[in-house]
Amino acid sequence: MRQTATGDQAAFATLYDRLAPRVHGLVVRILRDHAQSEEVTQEIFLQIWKNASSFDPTRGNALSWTLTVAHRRAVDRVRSAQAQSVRDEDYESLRDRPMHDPTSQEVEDRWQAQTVRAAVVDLGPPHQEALELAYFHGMTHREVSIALDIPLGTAKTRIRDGLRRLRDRTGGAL
Amino acid sequence: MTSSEPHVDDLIGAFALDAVTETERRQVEDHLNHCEQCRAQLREDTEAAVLLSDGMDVEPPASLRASVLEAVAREPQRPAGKPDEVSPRVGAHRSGADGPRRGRAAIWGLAAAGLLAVGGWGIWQNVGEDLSPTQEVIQADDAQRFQTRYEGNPVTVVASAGLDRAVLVTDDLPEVSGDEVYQGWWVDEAGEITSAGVLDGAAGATEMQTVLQGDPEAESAFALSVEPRGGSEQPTTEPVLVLPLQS
Repeated sequence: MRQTATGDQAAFATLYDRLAPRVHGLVVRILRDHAQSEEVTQEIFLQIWKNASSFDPTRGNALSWTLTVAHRRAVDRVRSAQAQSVRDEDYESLRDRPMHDPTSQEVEDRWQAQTVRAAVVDLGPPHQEALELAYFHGMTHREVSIALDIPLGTAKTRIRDGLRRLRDRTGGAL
Repeated sequence: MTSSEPHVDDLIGAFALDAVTETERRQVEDHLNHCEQCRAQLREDTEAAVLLSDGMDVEPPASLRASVLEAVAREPQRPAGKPDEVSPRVGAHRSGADGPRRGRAAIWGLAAAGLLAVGGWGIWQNVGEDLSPTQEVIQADDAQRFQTRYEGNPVTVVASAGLDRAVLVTDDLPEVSGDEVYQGWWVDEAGEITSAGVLDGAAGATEMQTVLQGDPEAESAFALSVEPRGGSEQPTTEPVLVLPLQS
């Protein structure tokens, strides 16, 4: 990342090779549309390139920073007017199938096999659901509370406690 | 903003997942600027958020790599140490602003005071000049904000003269029937009305941001009415709200 910040295109290419599958996986999981996801993944890496100098290692590592940028960008897209109608349909059917999204089944299958995933599942449905709706469906905590039919403060607390328990259970290790 | 204000601890987790409204985001960012304890908490929560997408890798097509690298070769980087470029920008209205425009900026400045005061924190969390069309307007140097309430919820027009574009931000507009939609309108000094576009999906949506058609520059007011599905050439019902754009 530091080399990338000095305009080193080769360093950026290496960074891309290391992080692109992770970024793209996250974007696909959020947008559930391959064409749109490719567009957004490209935007994310351009943003990373342009803003590499603002990366501050004291505030997190390169992966964490990159995924923060990526998530924000993908969620921004989900919340934009163009995506709204798709999202509404999605929103409507959440009660029936909160955790199962056919188009990302492939991703889901692989994810299930992971130990970290096991830790997420281990959190139990209340926290797991709140985290998944917030992180992968781009919902605000308020929307999470509506989708799960729980009080507003409870959604916030489940997101907060879910993240902290997840961190505890994995020892915070990556 | 003083150090005696309450911590935003209960919102940090949601903030780390981008699961907050724009208003909450700014509230948290303001707080983070001067609270080391909450910054440390955010760092932990952000690391935990990284775990959520572990093992979900999807290899993007090789063509994407090629076009990213090609774009990068053409695209200059932002120089280091220029926080101004990413901090929004309340008081800064365009130089050479004309009379009415200065009037608007003043209103906007009052209305939005404290809302956009993002300092150093924003550089990391809120990177980028490279924004979506709605965020480009909302974060523009010359963004002006006009707000009213409808059924208790804020309705805001954010306009940027530099971008010739305006964005409407609505929150929880009351539901309309299946064959009705909300439609925005510009009204000029002569009373001439032009469509600002149909707001599909705005009813009931949280923090909905829509790019409006047309340029607000010469307009006196923004209005919202309920129209038959597909929208109308001219309003067919009384406006549910009128938002003056000048002092």
